[in-house]
Formats: sequence, structure tokens, C-alpha cells
Amino acid sequence: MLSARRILIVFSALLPIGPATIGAAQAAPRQPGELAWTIGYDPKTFDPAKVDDEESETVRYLTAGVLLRFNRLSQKVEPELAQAWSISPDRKTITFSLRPGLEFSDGSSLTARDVAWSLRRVLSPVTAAPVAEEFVSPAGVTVDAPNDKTVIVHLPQPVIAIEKVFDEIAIEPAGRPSEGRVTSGPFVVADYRRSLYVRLHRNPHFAEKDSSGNPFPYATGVRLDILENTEQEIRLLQRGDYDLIDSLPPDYFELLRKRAPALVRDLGPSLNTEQMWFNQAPSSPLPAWEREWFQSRAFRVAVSQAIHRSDLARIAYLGHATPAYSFISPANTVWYNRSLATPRTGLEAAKTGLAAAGFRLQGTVLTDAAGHPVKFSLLTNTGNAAREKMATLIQQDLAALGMQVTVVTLDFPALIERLMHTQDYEACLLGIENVDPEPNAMMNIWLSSSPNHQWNPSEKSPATPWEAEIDRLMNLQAASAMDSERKQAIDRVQQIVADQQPFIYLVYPNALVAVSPKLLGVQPAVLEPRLTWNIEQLRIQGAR
Amino acid sequence: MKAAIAAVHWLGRMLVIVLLVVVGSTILVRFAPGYLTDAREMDSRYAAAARSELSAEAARSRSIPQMLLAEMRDATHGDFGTSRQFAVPVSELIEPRLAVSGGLLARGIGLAWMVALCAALLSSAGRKPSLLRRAPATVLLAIPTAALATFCLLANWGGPVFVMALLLAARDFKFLDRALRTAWQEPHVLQARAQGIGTKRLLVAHIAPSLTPQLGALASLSIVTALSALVPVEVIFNVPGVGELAWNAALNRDLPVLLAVMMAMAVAVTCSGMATPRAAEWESA
Repeated sequence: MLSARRILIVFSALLPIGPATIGAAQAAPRQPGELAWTIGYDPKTFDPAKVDDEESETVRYLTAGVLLRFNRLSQKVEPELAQAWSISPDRKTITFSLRPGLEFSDGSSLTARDVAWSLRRVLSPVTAAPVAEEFVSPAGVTVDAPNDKTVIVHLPQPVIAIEKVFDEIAIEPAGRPSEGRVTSGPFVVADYRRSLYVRLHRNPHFAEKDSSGNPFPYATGVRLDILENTEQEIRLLQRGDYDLIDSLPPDYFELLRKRAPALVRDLGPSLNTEQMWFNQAPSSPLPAWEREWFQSRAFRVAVSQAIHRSDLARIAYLGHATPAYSFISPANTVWYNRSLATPRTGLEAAKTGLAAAGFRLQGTVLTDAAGHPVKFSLLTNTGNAAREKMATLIQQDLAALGMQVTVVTLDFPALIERLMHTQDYEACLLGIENVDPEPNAMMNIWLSSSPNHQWNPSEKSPATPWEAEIDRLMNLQAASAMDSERKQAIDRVQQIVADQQPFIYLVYPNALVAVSPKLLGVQPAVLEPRLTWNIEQLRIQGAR
Repeated sequence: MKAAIAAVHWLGRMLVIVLLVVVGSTILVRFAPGYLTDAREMDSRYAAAARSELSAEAARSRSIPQMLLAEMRDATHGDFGTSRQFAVPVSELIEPRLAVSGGLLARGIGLAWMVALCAALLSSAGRKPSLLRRAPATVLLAIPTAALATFCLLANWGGPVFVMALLLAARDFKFLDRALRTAWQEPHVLQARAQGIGTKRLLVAHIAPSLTPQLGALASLSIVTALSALVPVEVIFNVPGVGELAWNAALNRDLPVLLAVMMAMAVAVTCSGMATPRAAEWESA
């Protein structure tokens, strides 16, 4: 018979093959002084003018030289390639004065001609740059470069917060778009391996310097690994392979906090909101009586009153969220309405409101005036643990009112089809990621004619007087040059939304991040990118 | 001549299977909920770009026969069309990933076979089948691939090759153990042992030849099993291979990518299936 000893020898000789080959595919080794973190997917483009996804935007932020930079911490616009700028009294002309001695990463001079060319390229319909729409009427915008240091932009009509738009426009060499290979920003694209990583190198000609005259950026480069697996990400952060995680879900935040408390930081409420809403669209295939419930203010307010928001924050977000009553978060210090009057919360108030609207509790089932039992499904997306927990908690809260709620989770494409195309749903629980504190950025949600006006999209004319009032106020703030008038209008919109509850705001998820203690210069901000907005100042300890 | 006819027959069969895969996948994906949607529709910054891409796709996919023709044309032109998610030629996405997945499969299958063979030789050396020796394989076979991969990931031990090898080894071991046990009891092997022929010569001259057709079948089964484990293993360990690409394509309703991956899988399975009868034929010849 075969010798067992011989087989064991062969078997034990094979064992090292296992551990030697088992590691998950990792990107290239880190270079000295290089920062590393992850992006979820491959960037769709490296052309800064054509960015229309988050990953490409990350690369643009790190590589693009821009005239003005929006400081994520102070929430103010600051000069970058432009040393000064002015806006005419009619707000239709912006004049930029460039810094002296500007150069691209290849050493060539950066002049007003390059700036004008880059702006014209973004505005051209041929480029189809998404950022062009922020000029409202891009076709009417003209750009002049009267000399090497001056650029003048003429707008056909005033645009609110126009300075911030220039934070998204990369200045490239005239006639030589290079997809990030030649830039005027802190880094240049050096290497890209699909599905593995994007590697950026320091731009040796970057214009900015620190107070001691040392050139920015401090880091020699950045490696963005393409990884969409939070478990792996936190494991590799702990191991020192990554320096930061810009956004963490609450469950993973807690997991990491238990393993390595020094790495995690809760920055408090983010600009993002989580909300539920009912489908009020007349074109939806819902029975008429259901639509009637959803169009009833009393019904929506009662639902809002019955939901225990503090429980949502405590249980679903493990304490890393703040109860919400408005579409503007308290993190948005300028625009948040601090004197917002919200409907009285609690079960009794909800029951009273429903009774007054003709709803009756028969045993444990709530029925409407015609005897239809109040039951509906609440859609949400799969894969978001906190949201799924919230849906279950809401289901419990509304059961106390006698409402039967069925929670349905769908993958994103299927969910979007129902929300945006067929309107075949009753209620939905989702979140909105607000990257811009400026309320003008939310026009597409609040204008009744917008396809993103979720509870009743693309209305030909406002369906209700309060929606007409929101339209009027949003248009007023968009056209007004006076900050006080704009603030007044936005405060009033917040109050109308709190009164009518078309969106039932639930929580503001906190901004949760993780940073390696070896990463120096980090000044976390609630606005994205939270940890890398001052990328030129970040460096690895001991690598300067 | 006979070989040429057999080759033509086999090629024809493969072509039919690939065609069925293309038609089936196209219809399934086209009518999957959310085919004509884009997550960017919800984002004010990118909604306009997303809507214009969607209207172009809606026009393209209005008629299924036309859509099928377009997909076939793209496939025959070599680049397999353009990915909806990444807006690059599909061939550009697949080529580097084929090497990654191929490497993972080769290492996983290789390691699994070595482990299973060693374990089966040890196990079959015993007089009676031992429950204790076979229990680990039975337990492993009962664990879903994704669960084992997740466990290894959370335990911070093991990786994609290890998980793949473990799963395949469990299946291969059960088969090899049974086959070897039967082979050791064959009359001619017993006769040879009684005549004092050494173990090495017994294995090479008597056992291996009688096991060849069965090993061929097992090899083909290993490839099919490994292919089915490819998606969960690559997704959980974030291996940038074809399985992960297929998963993302399915989530994003990226039909051109899905079609290319499905065609590659169909060809691989057909080729592996072909190996079994060929091995038996060669053996009998």
C-alpha cells in the first residue's frame, strides 16, 4: 500500500503554496511620500471638462488648476490661479487677474490665453461639459483675454454664486487637452491601470507655496486604488496600506472604532438628508383613494408625527445621525433655518390629526372614510444597512397608527425605474447627497416642473398653491442679488416644507471618516472631499 | 476525416450554444427592471448627461431583433461594443481581466487538484472509508461559496485562490477518493500487488491509466465549478477579474459587457465539456 508518510511529505510541501498565493489582488506598492486611498470604480474620463461621475471628479479635484477654489472648511471662495477677481455691479461681468509666473506641469507658461481657451472649451456645446449648465445660458457667455494676465467673462444674465463654478473648471494648455497629463493643479496623472489604480505624481511647477516658502504639494504623489469593498478598505487602512477613508457607513465606522478608535472621526451632521415621501403623481397607476391619502396634508403630517426620529438616529445609525426636519442641515450654517416651526410630534397628535381627516381605527387597522384599510409599501434600495433598518423602524412606528407598511428593497436600477419612469410605487425612503451648501443647487428638487421633484415630477403647472409658492420663492432667491432677501426666501421654503411634509425628513447622517495617525495636515470638513480638500497640505509623517 | 467531422460538429454545437446565450442574455437584460435607467438621473449635477445617454439607448433598444443584430455586429467586429457603464470598448475592459481570472482559475484548480489528490491517496490507503476523513469535505461542500469567502475575509485569513481551491478540493476529493478506492480493489491491481510490484509502479502502470477517463470528466467538472465560483469569490475579495466585471455589469444593466462575459463563459464551458469525451476516446484508442 502507498506510504502515508510519503504523501504527507508531498502534502506538507504543497501547503506553503496556499498562503503564498492567497492574498487578494493589491495595487502597486506604495512609493515614498505617496498618499493612498480608494475610489469605488474606474474614472469614466480623465478629461476635466467631461467629468460626470464621482471618481472622475476626485481625479479632477486632485489634478486641476482652477481660477478660484471653494474652501470646504470656511465655505468661502478663495483665489488660486487668479490672484484677484471682481464682479461688476450688474453681476454680468467677472474679471480675473492671474498670478504672475504661472506654469503648467510641463514647464510651459500659463497665460490668460490658456484660461480663455479652457473656459471656451467648457462652454462649447461640442464638449458637452456638464459644468457648462451652471452658467444657465452657456451659449451666451463670452470670454476675453485682453492681455496675458487678465481674463474677462461676460454673462448674458446674472448667475447666483457664479464664483463657485470656477472651482470646477480646470485650466489646461490652450489647444493641448491632455486628460490630466499636463495640469496646473497639485498633481498630474502619471499611470492608470484599469480596475487597479490611478497614480498621480506631484506637479513640480504648482504655483502655491506654504508660509515658509516651501512648494506645495507636500506629498510626492497619490495612489487611488479602485476598490468597492468597505470591509477590505478598513482592513487595509488598519494595516497602513491606506491613509484615509472619506466616508464610512455607520456600521463600519463602529466596527473600526472598536478595532482602532484612534483612526475614526465623527464630524457631526453632514449636508446629506434621509427622507421618505409618498407618491402624489396623478399619472401614477395607484388607486384613486390611495393617491387621495398621499395628497392629504393631514395624512403626511400624521406619518411624520408618528416617526420617532431619535430612534432612527440611535438604532439605525448607531448614534451617528441627527433628527431632521428640514432639507437644509444645521451643518449648512448660512442657510439652515434655526427658527423652523415643526409639527408637534407624538402618537397622540398623529391620531388626532388622522381622526380629523376622516381616518378611523377599527381594531388594529386604520381605515379611510370609505373603509379602505391604510396599507402601502415603502420602497428603498438594497445594500444600505442603515436605510433598511430605518424602514423597519418606520414600519413599527406606523403600525402603532394602524397602518400596514410593507418594506420592499430593490436594486438601484429597478428603484430608479419606478421613481423616475413608471411612478409605480406608493412610498419611498431614500437619501439625498448634498455636495453644495448653496440652496440654488437644489432648484431641481424644489421646482415643480423638474423631473427630480420626486413626489410629483415634471408638473406642467404647480399642482397645489404651496408648490406654486415654493416655485416663486426659489426663483426669487435665484434672481436676487441680496443675501438677506435670498435667506428670507429659503427660510420660508423650509417652513412650507415643514408644514406640508412633501418630503418627510428623518435624519441628517453624520459625516464619518477615518484617518491614519501618520497622515499630517488633515483638517476634516463636512463638505466633500472631507479629508482631501486641502490635498496640497497633506503628507505622511516623516516623509517630507 | 472522422476527426474533421467531429471538430465541425463540435464547433457547430458551440456556435449554437453561444447564439442561445446571446439571445437569452439580451432578452433577459433588456427586460430586466431598470434597464433604461441611470443612477446619475438622481444627481442634479449629472442628470442631464444621463438622460441624453438614456434616450440614445432607448432608441437603440426599441426593437429586440435590431438590438440583437447590433450586439452581434459589435461582437464580430472584435471590440464587443461599448460598455454603458464605463463608455469604453468592452474588449478593453475584458482583456486585462481575462488574465487575472485565468490566473485565479489556474492556481485555484491546480492547488485544489494537488490537495485533493494527496488527501485522496491518504484516505484511500485506509482499509475502510473513514467518516472522520471525509467529514471535512462534506462540510465544505455544504457551505456556500460566498459564505466561505466572507468568512475568510472577516477572519483576515485566506484569499481568493485559497477559497477557490478549498471548494474545488472538497468536490474533487470525494470523487478521487471513491475512484482510487475502487481502483485499488481492481483484480489486476490486487494481482500485481500480490506479485510484489511497488506502489510507484502500481500507480503509474495500473491505476493512472484506468482512472484517465474519470479524471478527464473531473477536470471538466472542476472548470465548470470554478467558473460558477468565480463571481462571488472575485466580488468578495475585490479581484479585478471577469467575474467582478460581470457582477458590476449585471448591477448596472451593462448589456454589452454582460454579453461578452457570457459568451466567454459559454466557450469555456463548451471547451471543457469537449475534453471529457476526447479523453475517453483517446483512452479507448
